[in-house]
Amino acid sequence: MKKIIYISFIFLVLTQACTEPFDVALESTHIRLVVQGSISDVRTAHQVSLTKSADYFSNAPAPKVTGATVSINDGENTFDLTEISDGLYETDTIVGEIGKTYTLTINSEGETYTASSRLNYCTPIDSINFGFYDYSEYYEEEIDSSEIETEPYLSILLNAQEPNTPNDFYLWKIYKNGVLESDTLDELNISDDYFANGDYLYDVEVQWYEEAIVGDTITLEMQAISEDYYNYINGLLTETVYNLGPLGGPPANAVGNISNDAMGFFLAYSVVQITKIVPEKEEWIELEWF
Amino acid sequence: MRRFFIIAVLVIISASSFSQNKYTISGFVKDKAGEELIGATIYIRNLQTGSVTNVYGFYSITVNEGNYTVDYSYIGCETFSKEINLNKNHSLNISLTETSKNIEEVVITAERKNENVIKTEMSTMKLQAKDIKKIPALFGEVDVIKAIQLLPGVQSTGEGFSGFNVRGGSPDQNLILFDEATVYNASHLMGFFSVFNNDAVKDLKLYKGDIPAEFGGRLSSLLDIRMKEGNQKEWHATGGLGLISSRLTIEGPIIKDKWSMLIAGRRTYADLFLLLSSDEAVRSNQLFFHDINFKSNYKFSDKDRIFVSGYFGRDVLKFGDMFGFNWGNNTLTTRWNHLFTEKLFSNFSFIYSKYNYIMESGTSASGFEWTSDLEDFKIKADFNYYPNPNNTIKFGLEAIHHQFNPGFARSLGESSENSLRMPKSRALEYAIYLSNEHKLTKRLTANYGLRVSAFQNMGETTVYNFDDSYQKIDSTVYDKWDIFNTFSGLEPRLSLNFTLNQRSSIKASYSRTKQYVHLASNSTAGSPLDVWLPSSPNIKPQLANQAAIGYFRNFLNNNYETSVEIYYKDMENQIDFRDHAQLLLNPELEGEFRVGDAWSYGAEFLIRKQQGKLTGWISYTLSKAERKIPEINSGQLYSSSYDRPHNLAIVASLDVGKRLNIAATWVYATGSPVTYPTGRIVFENMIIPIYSDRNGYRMPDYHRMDLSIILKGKEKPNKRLYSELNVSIYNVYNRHNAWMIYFGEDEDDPNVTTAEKVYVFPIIPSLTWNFNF
Repeated sequence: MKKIIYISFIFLVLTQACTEPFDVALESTHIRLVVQGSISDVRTAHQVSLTKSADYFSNAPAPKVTGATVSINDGENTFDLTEISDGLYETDTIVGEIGKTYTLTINSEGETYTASSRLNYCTPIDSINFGFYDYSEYYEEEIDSSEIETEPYLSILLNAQEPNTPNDFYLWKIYKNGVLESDTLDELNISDDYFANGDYLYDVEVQWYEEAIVGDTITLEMQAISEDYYNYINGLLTETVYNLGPLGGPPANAVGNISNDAMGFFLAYSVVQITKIVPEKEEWIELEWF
Repeated sequence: MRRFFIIAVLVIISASSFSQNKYTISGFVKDKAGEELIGATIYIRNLQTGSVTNVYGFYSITVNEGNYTVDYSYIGCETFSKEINLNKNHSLNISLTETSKNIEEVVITAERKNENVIKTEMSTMKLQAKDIKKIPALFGEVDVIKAIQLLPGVQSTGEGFSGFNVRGGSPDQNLILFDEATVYNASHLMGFFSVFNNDAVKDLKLYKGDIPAEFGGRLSSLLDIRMKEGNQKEWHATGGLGLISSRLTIEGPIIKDKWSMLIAGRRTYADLFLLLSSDEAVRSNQLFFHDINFKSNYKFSDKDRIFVSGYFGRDVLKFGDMFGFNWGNNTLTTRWNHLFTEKLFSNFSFIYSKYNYIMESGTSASGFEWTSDLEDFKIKADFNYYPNPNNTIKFGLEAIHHQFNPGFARSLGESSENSLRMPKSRALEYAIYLSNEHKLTKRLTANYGLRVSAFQNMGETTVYNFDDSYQKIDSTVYDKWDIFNTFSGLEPRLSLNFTLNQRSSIKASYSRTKQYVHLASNSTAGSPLDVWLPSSPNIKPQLANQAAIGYFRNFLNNNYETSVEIYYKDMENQIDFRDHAQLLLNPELEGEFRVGDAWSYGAEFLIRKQQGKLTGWISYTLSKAERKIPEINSGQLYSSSYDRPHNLAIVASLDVGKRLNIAATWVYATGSPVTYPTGRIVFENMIIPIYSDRNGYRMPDYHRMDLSIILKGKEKPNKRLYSELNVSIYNVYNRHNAWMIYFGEDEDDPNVTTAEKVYVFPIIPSLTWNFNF
């Protein structure tokens, strides 16, 4: 829905709006710890990255926080994380279990920070298909149509049974040939099950990829995330990608789940994956608009 | 309720004067086209007393038997004097002729041009359609709301937008009435134009504080716009061709002096140029608005008249077959004016008003549709009673049935049955009122009144119940016609005028207003996706108390009107929303509301000249608007988004000879409060801003100058077609006023963040050709 409003907005305002650089003096704000960490039900290294916030125009990579003690508790045992590079803490001795609540504890520069997250069940993926939209009518005729075909905009379509429990939240990422492609915030896709609770998801578009070529191996990862994380990501997107300016609401900081005025999020999630090779274009499904 | 009776008794006592050989002069005051004049002055020289016409052009004065000279006057018209030997009731319909253009300067007697000084009314301003026409306009589209924004105490909601804030109130606190019908969304094209076609407008009056007891339902202001009645004497067509739109108005008598009608249409055609494109996809896009105003009135006798008027407007946005969006207002007003006696004027109205939008996408096989609407049925009875020159009593009642359908989305596909409905609901709103404009002494006049209002929620509907942390607990379903919640309140209104002399006066006013319907919108700019919600067990009515005091002084034979007003407004149950609130298609929308207090205060200065070659005004407002809501900004007070401490507008129009008019406006306002980022973090490889306190910064100051030149065609006695050319330049010195400041990552270096100013309107010249025959 947001996308539609966004499109209308762009059409109406930005068609005539002009921009120019703007010089503004901004105050400094106090420095806060920023946590980005997670634990999943996959046997892998679970990582927690610690950085610091900075002034808005600091124009440098986020300062890393080294020398902290970081641990995760699953309700019974505590697992310590080791700093494998500056600001990046890791453990591979723990595997998340569905239904358990995990607590992250960080001691850094004399302060203690904690966060908890429950690991939710993720429904299995039955299969995926590939789809595309026909853009041709939106190009001027002069444009060589072959040029368009070399850059297909691939949609990944999910087939799965959504469990009949309300308040399930999902996040989708894709890997191409084993490499994570959805590696920035704006490439993540999230959804709640408000419109789909208990439905069979039949060829539902859940991810997109611009540069897929026939024969590439595409892996779709589906994560069952917590409601708080869903709201957090939504908040971050609202303040960045979907910033509507005066047409949107007043800006606000998204609230994570880390205590003691720290920012960021610690998430426990379960994962399912499916891999498929991009077939010949004839087998792609043409998608209807909206 | 007791207070109501006290006032009622007071009114009756003051009305029952010792009548001995008293007679009434009454009737209608019109212009030469038969158009009733609102607020025309009737002045009995010998008694130094008088009256003004009401919104239907009716007046009535009852005085002792005798010989009198009565002056009828109206701004822009020549004063008409009549000798009356009053020994019986006189019914006198007067038509005034416009001040001849040949008169170089106005020379007529200006004795009664001090209306602004002597009447009790303050914090109001009246504009006539013909004056609005002279104000330079964006794309040459004459716009009544843009004219309103130039008045003291009124702010524009944003560059180019037709939303406005009055004395620190939010845009949904303005009651906009078009021939008494509520207009819920007054904007076209995402707010760049207003829905009112100036050619169909007779005049408008803005009440910023001292709202008469007759009106209610909104906290901050009343914008009362009256449509023209239609020429009673002969057929005329008026129209214009502009860059953005064309207009045509046809008016005339079906039966001369008895039955007249007016129909006015307007359509934008920017999208018609798209049809010229060679590209089929471009050709199938649409973006336009159109509106139609219709009015007809039939005079059965001098005692009975019927009016029917309507407005139908629509905005359409379409991208091929993929996406369609249209929205608009429809209103219909049916009125019956009846004169019970020469002293008792009445009006009965039935009013229908609807705002809705429909968004559709995709095909019927796979797509979705989103609808939302708000529908009002209103009945109203108003009485004006003129017992003697010292009292004008108004009383009446109204009842409104509201029906809210805040949002319903469904997919059109066969396979899916998914739909989302925000609970529909209904409500009843009633009011009774009584007020008296009472001349207490020769110098002191009071206008006191009381409005008693009530609001009831009615089924069938579903109400969600929330806990203290706004989490939904459960819901309650109410059956059809089930009245499950009632609010009521007293709204006293009082204004006083102490006339120091014929040129100056001191006025004071106090008013309390209640608002039972609320707009769920947190954007500073307007949007067509308006969702109005009724007060309910979860949302209390908004309440405002406002006090104002002012000094009014006229100079140079009443040619220059000046005033200073100071106001303080205290508002309770003011609405804001939680951070990142989901306001659209959210069935649990009431859980997103956060309420608290707001207040505003300020001083407004005005110098206005309404007569002569040079007309216009200078308005300056110094003000502050703040709010405090426990869950917002950590409970700290913050500036309202519409807090603009300094606001200056200069409007000038100069007639150079008979055929040339040059007009200019200059506006200046402090930048609006805004929230900027002060820090940043990195999450999922993206820079996320950390924001300052709510509205902790200000946008750059806003200022702009507009110019227009109107070149009129030659007027000849036998020529019917009369035309004029209007060249207007918006933003003459091409200031890049910030519409928003956008903060984001640099395209080349993801570690670098930049700020960019987005501005919408650079210098925009436009040309309009207007005609009249």
